[in-house]
Amino acid sequence: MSEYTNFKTWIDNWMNLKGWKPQKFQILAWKAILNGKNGLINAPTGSGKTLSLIPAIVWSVVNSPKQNNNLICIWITPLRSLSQQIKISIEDFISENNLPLSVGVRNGDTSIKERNNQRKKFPNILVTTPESLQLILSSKDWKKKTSFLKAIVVDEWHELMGSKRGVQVELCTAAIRDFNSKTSIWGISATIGNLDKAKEVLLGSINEKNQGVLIKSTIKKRILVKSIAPKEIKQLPWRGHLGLNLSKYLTPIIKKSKSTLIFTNTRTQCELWYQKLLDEIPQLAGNMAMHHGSIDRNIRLWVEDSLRNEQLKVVVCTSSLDLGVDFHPVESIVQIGGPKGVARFIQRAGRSGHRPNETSTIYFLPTHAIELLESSGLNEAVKQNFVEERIPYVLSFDVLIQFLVSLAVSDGFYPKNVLIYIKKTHAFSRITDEEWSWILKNITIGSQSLQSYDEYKKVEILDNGLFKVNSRKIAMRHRVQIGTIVSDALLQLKSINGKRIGKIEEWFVSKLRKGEVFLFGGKYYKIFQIKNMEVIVKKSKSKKGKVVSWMGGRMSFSSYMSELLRAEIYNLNNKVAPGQINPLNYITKKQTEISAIPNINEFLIESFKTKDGFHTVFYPFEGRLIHEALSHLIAYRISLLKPITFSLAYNDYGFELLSDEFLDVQEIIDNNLWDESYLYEDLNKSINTSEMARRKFRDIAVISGLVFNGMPNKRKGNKDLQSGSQLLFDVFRDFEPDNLLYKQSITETFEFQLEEGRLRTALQRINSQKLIWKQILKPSPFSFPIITDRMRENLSSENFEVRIQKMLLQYQ
Amino acid sequence: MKTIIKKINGQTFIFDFRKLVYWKEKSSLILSDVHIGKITHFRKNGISLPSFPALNNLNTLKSAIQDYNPKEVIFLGDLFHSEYNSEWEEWLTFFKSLNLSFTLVIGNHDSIKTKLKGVKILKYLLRENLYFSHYPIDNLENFNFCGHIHPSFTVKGFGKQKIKLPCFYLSKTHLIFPSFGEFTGTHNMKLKNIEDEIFLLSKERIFKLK
Repeated sequence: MSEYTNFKTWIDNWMNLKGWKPQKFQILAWKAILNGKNGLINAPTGSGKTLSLIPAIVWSVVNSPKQNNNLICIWITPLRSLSQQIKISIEDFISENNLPLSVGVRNGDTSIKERNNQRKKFPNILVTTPESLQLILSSKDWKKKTSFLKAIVVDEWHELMGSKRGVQVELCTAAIRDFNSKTSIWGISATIGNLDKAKEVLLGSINEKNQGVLIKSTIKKRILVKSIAPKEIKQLPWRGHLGLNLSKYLTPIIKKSKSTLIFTNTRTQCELWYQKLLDEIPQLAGNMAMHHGSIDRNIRLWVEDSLRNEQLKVVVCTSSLDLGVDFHPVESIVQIGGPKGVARFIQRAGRSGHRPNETSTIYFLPTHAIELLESSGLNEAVKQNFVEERIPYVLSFDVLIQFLVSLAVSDGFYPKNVLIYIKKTHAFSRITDEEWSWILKNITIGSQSLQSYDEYKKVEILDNGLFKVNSRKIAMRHRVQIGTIVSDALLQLKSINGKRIGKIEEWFVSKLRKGEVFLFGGKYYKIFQIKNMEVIVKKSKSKKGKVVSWMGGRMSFSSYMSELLRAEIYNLNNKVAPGQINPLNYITKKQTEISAIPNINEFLIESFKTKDGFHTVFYPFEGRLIHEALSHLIAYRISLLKPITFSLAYNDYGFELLSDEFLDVQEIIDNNLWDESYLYEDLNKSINTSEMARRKFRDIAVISGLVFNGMPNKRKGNKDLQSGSQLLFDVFRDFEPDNLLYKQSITETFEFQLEEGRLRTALQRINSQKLIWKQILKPSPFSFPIITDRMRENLSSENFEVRIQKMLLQYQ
Repeated sequence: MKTIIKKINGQTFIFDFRKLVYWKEKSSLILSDVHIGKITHFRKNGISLPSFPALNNLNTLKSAIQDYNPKEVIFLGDLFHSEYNSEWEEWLTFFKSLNLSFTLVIGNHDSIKTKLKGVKILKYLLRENLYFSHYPIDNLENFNFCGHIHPSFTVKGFGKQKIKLPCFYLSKTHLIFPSFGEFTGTHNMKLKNIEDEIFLLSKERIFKLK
């Protein structure tokens, strides 16, 4: 009998007992694993993906049931909160089959005691995060630990791939496989537009002969989108993203559903909606909870458990509940405000009706008038069953530096040997010799040429050529720093009796005075004391106060979402049914009266003056990120024509150039403003001072170890080694512009973030359209959300001193 | 403008765009928060910053000394960023090489374990009814010259323009110095009192707010 027949008999026995039947994708996966293949499984949550992998991975143990401490499987999840659930589901399988295996969880939440236990007796199956995996590689005995490893499973790979944590996974798995070629790699991914690419990125080219298999489950989900459109004109504002005044439309949905999950786009919005619903439906007190990334982990876990046990009627949440966790009892899903992407929307819809073949219903509540257009766009997308692609990061030198230092901290490494497998990862397949040598010099001498009297110290090169970290201080700081998720300095929020409530960003705390009241997690607190990295609060009786807010980046439309929106806009002129009064008709009428609504062959630009200055607003309808780049590009090109200073603002619909003098659009448009040639060069010059690049650099600086956030739980946080990434950015720009990490911040902005080619396609489209320039007397409805945006950037070609002089004159 | 002249307590002070002040009657140059050795301190701890800005700093001071030919230089604290490292050497050589008196009013960063040749170290300095310290001190009898805060100010203009610049902040009781060091960061100030004066500094000029 073949290996597989034996296996099948065993697993069928158990499944029969449970009354289950193996699904086709599970059978395919089992066969592939037993044949030693690598691969990627595409299956929705709740479809039995754990079972498609674990039985075949542990099969060898079934035949030799002797207990040992050999690690045979590492299961990587992006979220700590998922770990527990996966552990339970694996443990259930193991105990029902009487296998002598142990399952352990290891991530940032694992206690020191548990870690010490793991050190003595390592679990056979380890559920962990990418960061903790890299931590294992930075410990001395990692090779010993992984010598029996059969498989590494990467769960929610679609989520990891689009982030630098994906690169981290690529490097770590490559290192393990280079040492132990018997380890196979398996990914699990939700549906994304580029599944083949996802497989390719995960597996790299370590094993040229074994390109891996892609296994798709055939389980289909039906999704029903219901848009909530207010009946009266005045109910939908022209701008804003909160949508609170429409809460009464949610009441009937909440009342008739057993349970409702309400997705908001930001944590602040989440807090406000929770409060609003509590005011609207007082009976919800005790039945409603809130879930977002800054709320303490224990509270979040409680919310997740309560949802699963049907103890909560309503949960207001952010993307913190987007991933994996299975909540099949949820009956209704509500999305407040545009979801920005189709894949995200479908994933959220999938939170309800979790059982296969059940229909998922999602309600969409627009928060301002133009979002009404998005709702019909979303409907169309869901009908066509289209989802976006995830774009993998490449050449993330910051992650590579962190990885190499990790190796240097553990056993040390020989550059020649590691480069072989690093080049086999997707992320670094194109690394050049110059880049590699730059990286090695950076971690050993901290610059590209040896300087006299230099005291730089990080990785040392030993006599035998081994690259090694010898300083315990540097090793310790590095371990603390591992990880690629970066956020603002976070302060622990604690009640006066020591209970943890959540985390709050430093900049928000700095705005609060002692005794001031603020809203967090649905409760009002008063600041009692701020010391070290903790904010101690008391509950407050007052029901008024600042709502806690977070900086967090704003999301942008995906290219597909923009395409849908453009189709809706260009169709607006035909859509207005005479006599019918609804908010969309109203806004269409106003826009036509004041300015114009472009059709598919037209490109709209508006000019008008307000007390703030002269506004020129462009409408490519390409999504926030593209507009961010386009606004820089166009502002830069105009600034070459004459000395001028712009303040830039953008949203998903268009962008604005605000100046202190009138801009003759006809005059400038004749200068090949939308030219595709020199796109790269011009962008480079316009972006190197931008917020966009600075934002990217902030992450790069932390990941590569340029910025040190201090030791956790230490009273003194190494203040003498801390500096802002902004300051560093300026130092590099002024003194070392060819620094690879600095350059990375610029290339990341337009090569990765802007989705290669998307900008070019946008320019081509604009070039083919007819220009409609409207000089108008007051802001149009389209322009309103853009010109009132307070997040702005500057671009100037005026003499710096002259500008200051001019502003000082206005100051009087 | 390259300089602004201002009387404080009957004494004449020349505010220079290079982030320093020349005291005419005493022939003293006054500056604050140089943070010598900061870059090297970072590099020593495995943070790979480029090591040029430090040089720039010393050259700026040298050029000011050439222009004013002072008898004395007063540092208002945080002359050094951390304990001794190689970056100090160039400055120490410079201190010794000139026939000038150097005075350091000690700051929170200065961890000086041995005597520095050619530099007088004080906790504070009282001269002509002027009180020189690192930290700003409130409720003093005397007018206070101080640093520590690294003040900057954001000017705003038509078309939602804004520019942040390092500055001198002059109130009725205090003169707060900008940080002289290149790689030090700033703290944004608001105009607290309508009579207060702010002198903004660009790489080439000094500007008076209002």
